[in-house]
Amino acid sequence: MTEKTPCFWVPQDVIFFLGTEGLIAFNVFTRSHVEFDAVGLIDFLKTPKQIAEIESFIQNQSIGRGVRDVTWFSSEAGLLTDPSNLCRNPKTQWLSQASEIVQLLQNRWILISNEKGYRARFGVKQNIFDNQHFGNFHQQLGHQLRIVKRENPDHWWARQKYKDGKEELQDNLYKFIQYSFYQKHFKPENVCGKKILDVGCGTGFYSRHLARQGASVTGIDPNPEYIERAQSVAGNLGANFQVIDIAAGDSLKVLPSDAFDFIIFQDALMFYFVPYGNKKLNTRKTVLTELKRALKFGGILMVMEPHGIFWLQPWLGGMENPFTILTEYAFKTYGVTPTLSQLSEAFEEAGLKIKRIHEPPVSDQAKSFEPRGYAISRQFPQWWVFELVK
Amino acid sequence: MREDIIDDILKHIKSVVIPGSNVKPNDMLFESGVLDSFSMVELISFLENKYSIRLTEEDLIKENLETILKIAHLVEKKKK
Repeated sequence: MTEKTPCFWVPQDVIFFLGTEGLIAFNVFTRSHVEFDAVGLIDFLKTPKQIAEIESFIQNQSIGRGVRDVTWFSSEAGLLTDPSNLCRNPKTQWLSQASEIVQLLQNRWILISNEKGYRARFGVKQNIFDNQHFGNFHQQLGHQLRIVKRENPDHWWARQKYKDGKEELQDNLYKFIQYSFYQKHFKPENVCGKKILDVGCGTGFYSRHLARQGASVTGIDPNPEYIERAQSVAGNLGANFQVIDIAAGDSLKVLPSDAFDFIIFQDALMFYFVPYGNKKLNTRKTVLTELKRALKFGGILMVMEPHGIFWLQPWLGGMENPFTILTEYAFKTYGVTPTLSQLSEAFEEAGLKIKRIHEPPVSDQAKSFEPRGYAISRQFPQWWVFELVK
Repeated sequence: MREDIIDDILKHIKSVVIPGSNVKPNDMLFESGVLDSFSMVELISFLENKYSIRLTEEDLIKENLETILKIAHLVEKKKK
């Protein structure tokens, strides 16, 4: 019996849109992009084909310059850079050889031959060397930094958020949304004389902002270098800093009870839902319960997290009506942000009540620095903020 | 050559990763928990420096790194 020749087809996850020089095939789940100068080839691939048929088509038909890989790990420059910003892509060579084109289309999941095998790849990697699973965002970022770039993820984290010296924010959406929110909500009239705990303070940028408003701030972070830096930069501003790793053991027990009017907890709770790396963490219930203990009655625990719909979706459309493709919300294989109901459950478990939810807007200042980021962030929130009370 | 690489890997694991470890060249490193991703990256950097090689993204897949023997084989191949 002869073995059946496998057929190849374009999975339903692939969409097409105009690129800079051709038509781009984009697999929305693998986030891979291939640009086609050979538009006739796309038409040909509308129905499943055997490999020999595809190769014969490429050899015998006019395919222009062929196809080229325009896939790029867009988050390398920063979490909030445009994931669909194809014009920033390194321009790879156009391929015109049949075998090379077919190989590229398979490698980039624009062509598949086994639906079940392809779907089985959606899932977390066992480790960053596992090339059988696509992995979640943390793992893909870890792979890109550790394996491809050999960069320390901690350095990347600081670099995409802060300018050199780690004392000022970059002119990106961190500044125009997050900082803008803090500027609006933490003014002298509501924080002067108040005690504030800044959890995961890093080098103390937000602690200094709060101290300048007249608050008495305690910043905590697991990184001793950051704490040393925070202390030296803050000088006599009214902020003090301690090395405390909230993820580890009983570390939070050292915090006083009923002590703080505000507790700021930013971009960290998600790691208690989907951990980064192999480190064993305290449970989210432990962390939230301890923070609640440290909060005064009438005080506010402010949890700011990447929005449940935020996460590296392509920014499409024009400046007036930008749109995006939402591939996941309830069941995530790539995304790492908890849903609204998961967060709400975690808060309830710790005995915290939601007083108010904000979806911070982007400030107009963003317009001149990141016009597309401004346009998309006006329509789609990047973060949500929960004001919690005990 | 391969014996030397195996020796270097064993020494690195025993001195840097798990002091006094009894790991063997054929032990499954990930499944047994001898090395996590972080320590594996450290081991790779150590071997790259020691043998003046550069392992690529295509080299650094689980199949090539599952045991000390396989890692030694990979390093030997790159060294040639």
